Amino acid sequence: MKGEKMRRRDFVKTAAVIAGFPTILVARQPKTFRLALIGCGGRGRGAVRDAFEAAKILGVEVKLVACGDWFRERALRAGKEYGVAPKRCFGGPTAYREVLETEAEIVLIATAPAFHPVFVEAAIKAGKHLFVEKPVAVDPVGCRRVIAAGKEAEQKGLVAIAGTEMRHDFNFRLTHQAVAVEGALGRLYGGRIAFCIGHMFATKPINPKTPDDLVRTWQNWVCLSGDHIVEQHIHNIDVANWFVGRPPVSAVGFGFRARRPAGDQYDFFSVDFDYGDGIHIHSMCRQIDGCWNWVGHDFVYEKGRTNGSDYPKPKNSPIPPDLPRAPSSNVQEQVDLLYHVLKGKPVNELQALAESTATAIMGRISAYTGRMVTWDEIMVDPNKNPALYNLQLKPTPEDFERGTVEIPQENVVPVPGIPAK
Amino acid sequence: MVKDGKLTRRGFVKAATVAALSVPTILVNSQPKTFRVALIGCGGRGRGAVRDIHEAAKLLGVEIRMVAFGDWFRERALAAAKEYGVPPERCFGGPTAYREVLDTDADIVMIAAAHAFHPIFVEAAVKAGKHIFIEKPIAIDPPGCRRALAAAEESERKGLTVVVGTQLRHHWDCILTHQAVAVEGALGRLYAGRVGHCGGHEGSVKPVNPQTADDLIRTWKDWNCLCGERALLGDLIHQIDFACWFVGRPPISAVAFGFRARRPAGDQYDFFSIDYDFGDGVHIHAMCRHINGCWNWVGHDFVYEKGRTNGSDFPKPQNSPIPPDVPRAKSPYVQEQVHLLYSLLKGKPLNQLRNLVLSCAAAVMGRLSAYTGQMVTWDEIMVDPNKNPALYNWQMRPTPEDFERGTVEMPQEGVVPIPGVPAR
Repeated sequence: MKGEKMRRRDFVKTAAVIAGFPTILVARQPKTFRLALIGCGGRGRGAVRDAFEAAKILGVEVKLVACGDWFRERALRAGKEYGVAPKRCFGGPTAYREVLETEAEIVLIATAPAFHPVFVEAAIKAGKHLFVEKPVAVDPVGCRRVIAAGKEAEQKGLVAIAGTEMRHDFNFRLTHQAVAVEGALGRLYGGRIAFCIGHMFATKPINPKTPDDLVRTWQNWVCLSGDHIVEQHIHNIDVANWFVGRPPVSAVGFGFRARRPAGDQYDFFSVDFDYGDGIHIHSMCRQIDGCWNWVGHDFVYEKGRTNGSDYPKPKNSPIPPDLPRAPSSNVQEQVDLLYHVLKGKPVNELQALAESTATAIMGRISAYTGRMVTWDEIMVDPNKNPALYNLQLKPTPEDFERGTVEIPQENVVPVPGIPAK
Repeated sequence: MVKDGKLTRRGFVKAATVAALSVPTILVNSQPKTFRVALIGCGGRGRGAVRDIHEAAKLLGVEIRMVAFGDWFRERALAAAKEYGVPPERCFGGPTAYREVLDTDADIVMIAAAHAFHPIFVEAAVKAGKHIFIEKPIAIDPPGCRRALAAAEESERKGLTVVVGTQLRHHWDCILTHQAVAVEGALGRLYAGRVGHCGGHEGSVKPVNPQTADDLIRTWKDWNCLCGERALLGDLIHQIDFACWFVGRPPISAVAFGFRARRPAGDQYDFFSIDYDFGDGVHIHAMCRHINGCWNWVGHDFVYEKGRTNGSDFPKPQNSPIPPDVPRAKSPYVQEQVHLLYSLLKGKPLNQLRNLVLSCAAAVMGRLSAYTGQMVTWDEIMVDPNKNPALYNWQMRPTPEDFERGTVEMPQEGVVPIPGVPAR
């Protein structure tokens, strides 16, 4: 990667001409990017590692200057690894605010999804570039909040990168360009996407008593994770939205909880997404041991099928020639983040991430209720179905911040429809 | 119009001997004005089929004479027979009623019993050389499907007419659209599709608590061993059959999701969502549900190169496959019987049994996939006994033989299969 190392002078030149670009880059060319991490779990710490690897690839340096987590001991542990002073390691529900008050230029956010809208909004308000893990919300209200924050980020010329890995993977980008942009395979007629794997998370009841218990086991709770269709299957739903070129107009979902032993989520969903113009995508996800497993995509075009990454032969590459290719898509995300900051090219991936999150939420609501749910109802028209449009999962992130958390009932899940008469 | 075409016993035997296995024997010697019909399964659908064949006979200018009725419950056979003046000694009850019905001189046997019995009844009817109308589904498990397939092959060899209750195949707009789109290729190539049978709750609204085999039979649509999933084998079978018809072949595999969210009685799921792989990249998403207060849709949506069809909205083939002298009935139920009688009158065997078996096997494949959480293939359940013996030999208990022998164990109410294995 030596040859791809960016020359300082080139960078300065680029950065200086772009008006409205974050001042930190214009005034003095940082050789070292100051990072902060909000959410010090496995994925957050992994993102920091990835950022360090990405910096090496780009020939720049990064420094972790602050860590925040609901649990301060987790922030301290992550901080220790990267030489962050304990006074820069924050805990509790407002840790994110303290992190955002530091001089960090880039904030990596990887917490329970329910908190993402609040944290993303605050980070953009504070003028930080950011990386945020998927999903970016758990309900329609959160999705719209993130879309608004993304607009603000655009105005401020910030770089906002999302953890939807496939959009950063070169083979996906090239295949998307060839097939979805240049039309190499003709028209799209249908498709299937899936994230079907074995059981995930707690294997016996959690019996949470406090908000801490919930946050510690957040992957098991709808109010914090959004259910596995939102938390995990969003990857494939995002690829579908990307290849079709828009979010679906409606969803009809089937799902239930067959054998989850803990928490309050379903363990399978099977959703028909209607993208309009006759295009339907069948989305399936499952987290049950001993079942058929498939994680992938199958898009049916006029002249052939693609799994989204097997046709990397566009006429024109959408990838800048000087963007280094990383060994993994997680590192690629951070390369993209640092590259855009270095280049002074604002990018807003929040809109697409929020739309994919909302798509997954639409499927979840349809399965929970048994109803067809439309994009208009949850995202566009406040009057069409106010209950869905204003849906906010409780306890809300604000409940967690205020300490007004009611513990959800374990092993109780939504039952579609109404009882037989 | 034919005048006295009633076939005597003697004439029939002779005809059967002479015509061997080719054309339906009753038509060879004399043009029958009257068809002798018997019914096995005297519930609502069975009695309805009898009404329909009478109406069909009127349209064709022939006559129907009911000669026997059979049902698990003899009083039902008696009640159904009364309307048609069939004497009580021709009304049979109990688990072997079908055999007594088949011993009569009926030319046509109509079968509309609990699904689980259909393979046995149809096998016996074919053996007895009867022309048949049989309701869907033909079987609810792989052994039943293969048994019915063998019966289908025998019925083809014997030149019998077998019309099945997948009514959409008798609906003219569907027949014409199928011809235009699937045969003549008016919309180009097929790429994908969806079919659905999503409606409100059906069946008992409180636990049945069955104590006897009679209790089970009386409420058979609530029980997996008799009905084989009423949302899937009972309802969605129409749409699965339709998809097989339009694609032109049965699927090679199924990946299904399903469960029981709020059925209050019996031991069946209340929804399924199935990805059928028909090969060549063609997948059809099939969905069904029996839950009140949900999104409902019964229909088809096939995505072709040049447009979509619901299977009945493009009745514009270049060549109609419907003979010009077939009368059009006002309902597909009557149309089924028109096609049956027309086939016999013309001496042109019409045999839909094989297609019904294949569609039922597709439905069973989806059912097993949902129960197990596994992908289930056509080869596993229908072709290769060694690939997955557990699936190949999978039979619901109690079996129809258990009912006949009186060795019925009561199924547990409210207990359903759970896919996969527990989390470790």
